Amino acid sequence: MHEQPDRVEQFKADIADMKITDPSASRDQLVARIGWVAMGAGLVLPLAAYLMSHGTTNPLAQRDAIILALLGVALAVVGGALYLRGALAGFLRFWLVRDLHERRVQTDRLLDARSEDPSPDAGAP
Amino acid sequence: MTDPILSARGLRAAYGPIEVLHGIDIDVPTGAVMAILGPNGAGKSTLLSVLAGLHPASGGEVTLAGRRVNGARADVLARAGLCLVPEGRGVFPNLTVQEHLRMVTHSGRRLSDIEAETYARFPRLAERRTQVAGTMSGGEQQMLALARGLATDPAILMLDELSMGLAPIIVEELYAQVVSIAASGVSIVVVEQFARAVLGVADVAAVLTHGEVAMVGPPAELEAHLSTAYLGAIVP
Repeated sequence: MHEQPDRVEQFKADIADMKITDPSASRDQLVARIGWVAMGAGLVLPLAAYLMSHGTTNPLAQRDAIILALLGVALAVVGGALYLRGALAGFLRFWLVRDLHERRVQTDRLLDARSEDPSPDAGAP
Repeated sequence: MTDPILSARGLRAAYGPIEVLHGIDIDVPTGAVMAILGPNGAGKSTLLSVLAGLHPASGGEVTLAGRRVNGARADVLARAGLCLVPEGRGVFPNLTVQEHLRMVTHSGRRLSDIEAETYARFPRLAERRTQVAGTMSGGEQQMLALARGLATDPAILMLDELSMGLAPIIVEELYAQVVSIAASGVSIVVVEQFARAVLGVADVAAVLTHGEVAMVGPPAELEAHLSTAYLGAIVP
């Protein structure tokens, strides 16, 4: 052990200097939710643009509707990418946890097998 | 006893819609050994996960050295000196003892220093230095997990079910080490299902049942009421 007398003071100083941010898991959820909203908006906007364009003979308003519809398409694409990013991060995190769990089970299996080994070097327990 | 180095106030945590901690209040005094006891499923391991920043709190607050640390990342807390030795040891079965210790050199310490300290504390690990952890006994794996945690120079050490699956003589040996670690000034939180393993070494203990603190106090006082608390947890 190499405990210095001022270890607790050092710890307090480190904690005081620490930058605390939101946990990344909730950030992934937020990104995925923003993606969903953007995709929803991307579907609604072209529909609104169609109604806007259909309800007028004014070419200026119809061109505005085209721009609005293109904005909707862009939003849907960006939203899709954001959703994919958030969902994949969550999935990969789950995969990592699963992998760790399997490793632990494998370790337990090895230990069980070793405890059945009657050789004197088997050790406790 | 001095100011608490680690506190939880009204701490809540959930797995999806199921809440498992319903407002935990605990204080870990600086330099003390605190035992957290309770029957299986009481929320002890979840409490440690939340304190270590591995699981998000859904309510309440965690304070470290007087500062609220809700939402702090586990790696940032670990770097500051909050060390968790998880249930199931968390050693890598394919790595040797020496390789496990080399992993801790990220903190800037030399491997030779870490090895010297580790082998002085756990001579049995010196005999196993080139052996892969997966082929070592449960007690040796737990020693390795403890040694790896100690090599990070922790200010707070949290031990989850240190005695799980181990022979009583090994448990006794490990808790003797815990006492010696505490004597060097490290604050320790020990979670145990089997109270007798830890009551002798703890300065203060808390009993958790159904995600709530049922009792807090000196171990000698709690020991007499433990059965009632555990049975109270079983009988609705």
